[in-house]
Amino acid sequence: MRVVCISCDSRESGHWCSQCGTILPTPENEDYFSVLGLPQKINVDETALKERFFDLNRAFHPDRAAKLTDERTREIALRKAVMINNGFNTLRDRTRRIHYLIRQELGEREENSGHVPVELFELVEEINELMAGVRRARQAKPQEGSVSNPGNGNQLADLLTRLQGHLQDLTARREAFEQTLRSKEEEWDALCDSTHNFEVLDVLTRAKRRQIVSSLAVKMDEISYVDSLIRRIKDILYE
Amino acid sequence: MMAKIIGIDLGTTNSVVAVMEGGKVTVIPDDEGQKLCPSIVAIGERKFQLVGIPARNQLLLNPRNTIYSIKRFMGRRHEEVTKEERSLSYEVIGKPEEMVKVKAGGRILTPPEVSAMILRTLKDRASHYLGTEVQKAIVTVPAYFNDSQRQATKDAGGLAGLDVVRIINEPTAAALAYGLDKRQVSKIAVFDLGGGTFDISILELSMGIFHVLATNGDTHLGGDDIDKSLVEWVYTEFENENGFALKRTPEVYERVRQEVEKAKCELSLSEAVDLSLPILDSRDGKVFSFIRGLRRTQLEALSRGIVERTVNPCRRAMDDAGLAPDQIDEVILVGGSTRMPLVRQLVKNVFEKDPNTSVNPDEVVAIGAAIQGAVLSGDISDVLLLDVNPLSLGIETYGGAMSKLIFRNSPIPATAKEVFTTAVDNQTAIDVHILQGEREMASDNRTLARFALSGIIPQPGGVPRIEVTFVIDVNGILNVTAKDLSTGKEEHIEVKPAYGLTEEEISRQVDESVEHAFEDMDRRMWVDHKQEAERVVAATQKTMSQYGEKLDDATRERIIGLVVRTRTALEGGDWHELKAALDALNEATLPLAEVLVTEAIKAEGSLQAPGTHSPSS
Repeated sequence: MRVVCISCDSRESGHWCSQCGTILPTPENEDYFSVLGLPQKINVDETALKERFFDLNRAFHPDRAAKLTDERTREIALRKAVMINNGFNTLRDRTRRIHYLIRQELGEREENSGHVPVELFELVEEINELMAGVRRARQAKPQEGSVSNPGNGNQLADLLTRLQGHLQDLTARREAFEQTLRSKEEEWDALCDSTHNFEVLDVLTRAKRRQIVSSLAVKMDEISYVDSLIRRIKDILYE
Repeated sequence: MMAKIIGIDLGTTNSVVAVMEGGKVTVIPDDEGQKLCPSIVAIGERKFQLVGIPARNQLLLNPRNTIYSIKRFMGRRHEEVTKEERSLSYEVIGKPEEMVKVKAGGRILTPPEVSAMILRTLKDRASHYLGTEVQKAIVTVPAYFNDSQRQATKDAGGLAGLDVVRIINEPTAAALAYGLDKRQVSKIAVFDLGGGTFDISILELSMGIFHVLATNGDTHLGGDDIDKSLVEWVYTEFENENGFALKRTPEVYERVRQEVEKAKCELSLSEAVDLSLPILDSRDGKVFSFIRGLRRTQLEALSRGIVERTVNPCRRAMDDAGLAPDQIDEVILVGGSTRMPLVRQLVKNVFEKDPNTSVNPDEVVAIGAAIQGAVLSGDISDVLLLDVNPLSLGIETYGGAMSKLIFRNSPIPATAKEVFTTAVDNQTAIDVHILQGEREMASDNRTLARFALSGIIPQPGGVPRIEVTFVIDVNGILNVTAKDLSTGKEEHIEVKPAYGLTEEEISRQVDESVEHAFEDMDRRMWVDHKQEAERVVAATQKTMSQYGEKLDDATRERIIGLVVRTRTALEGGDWHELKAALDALNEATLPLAEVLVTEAIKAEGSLQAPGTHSPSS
């Protein structure tokens, strides 16, 4: 993104004005990948990320900027330092990174982790029934000293075994979702490789980007749904 | 060249001042050659006061007017420090919800005022040494100090005529002192067990950059706790020996405390010492003394439980940094309590290597602060400190959940912005409740401040857009702004009320966020589904009253039945059941939504794709 240099008024991009060397302001909505000078890929080169983080801090951290005599430049450096920190903190974590990309491409959206993934409908229904069954069986446990129902304990054990089986099934499904997510990531990264970073993109590329990111968003939601379901099953199993 | 910036370690027990000259750090001694200044102030009549060693020397004679451990009260409300207060020989006053004040020598003083007396002594010491008046300082605080404690520390500097140009964390300062000449990439852990607080920080050193990866700790854990358990041991033994309880006056308590503290220190070097407390109490004209041998093994048995509380924070910090013990190259010890062989053994067990003890643990923090002073004055240009925020910061959202804006271990300075909305129709004000901690629910975390944003234009719930911005500066001090995006009206607060972390809360917060993750999740799911269910039930009832007669009887009955079931589930507490009822209701109302769409199309008199209508609108 191009900005106006506060010292010589030329329109420039990057962190310093190429005409006069003054520190350039960073637009508030500047992309974190661009702030840190990295390609907008999901598989970030973590060594490069850290190196860029260190290099930029050497230039803009408030301890360094303390030497700047011009107050406006100091303020610009401070804003930049904050942006660098926020960017580093977002990009260093894979999940945060993907969520950030989704937000950048699709705008603010409600996370939709409450929806049952379509292909899991039947499985989830069965699991819910089993969990309700386990809860009922546990509540109906014979009181100490009363006449016990010998079938009850067996029934509970049976329910738990079936639930255990479904948990394994679900874990395998999660792995499959993860695989799809990875392949979408690859797709995104390949698309990034084939285009120039942060240049104006043609309609087709933009459409492709949106398409990939939308499926990333769906997969993230699905994984998050499965994770919470797995947690609930484990709660019941290991109660 | 800019003026010198001195480094001050303002400790619970001792304070130290250092300065960097010609590429070397000097710890500045007093006229007698003493480098440590006891953090003790004796308050006399009419502004007369003693600071440091002279104050300590008269402590036994004048315990009620001699103030020590004032650091524990910095930036705190009275109700937060009742535990500390109990073992003091001077008086702490103020209402529970007010900032702590102390009373001595007929004067009422705030903790920053008392700390300022210590800071002024150190400032004078440095000015005398440098031959010119010092005006700027770096002051260190425990990494786990919150905003209000940091702010109080800054205020103390101001009262002492010092411009505190930067607050830095003690373990980070220690790392600076150790790593100045290191150029290769390495990972170091700083284990800081002082008189009153415990901090653990893990840093990465690379080409002059000191990057804090993770920090953890406990603001209520230190050598003083060991002293207390030793004092209690003396009280118990005295009673067993003589058949009556030793009196608990400040004078007696303080005598015992000083003697056991001395014994504790000696036991770091020898296997056994003699405790000698002659003429401690009297009864029926007879005097009673306490003379007893104390072995290191006894001391260790009494202090093991206290020392072991450092283990979990260490493990968590390594976990947060993503490092295993064998990936940590060096462990640095800071604070007097790390002289104890028991502590060193424990550190060795946790980090699987012998700790580095080459710099005096009492001086290392001040040395690091002096280095940071040289960085800020421009004397050093190849060192840079990148520190983090120790606990997550956020606000309370509708339903009592905490929404985190800045995560723990985020590099500072940092900002975060999030847009929130109102929960009910025609709401004209929102309460912004600022929180610190790791748990899911607001009530389990610490309140830093609250403020209200009023003057919101009455609109349906969910329509107004309120933007909340957090700004955390390089000193770790937080500013929060709430802005109504439609009117531009803004409220702003600098977080500096008196909220310290109370004993339980500190270790509890991170502990429980792990332990209670599941329970939290349940509560959160409940809150989320409850909101959704209330909305759906209200919408369904409204639509049914308008279009219900257009449905067949069976469908109508089913919807009514499920509304009842959902309402019943709302009375219970099980979100699983609530969700089941809600899902069923959502499904059952599909025919109703169709009716709604048809009616809407009829009303508009034009054809629209049904998909563009949301069924619930």
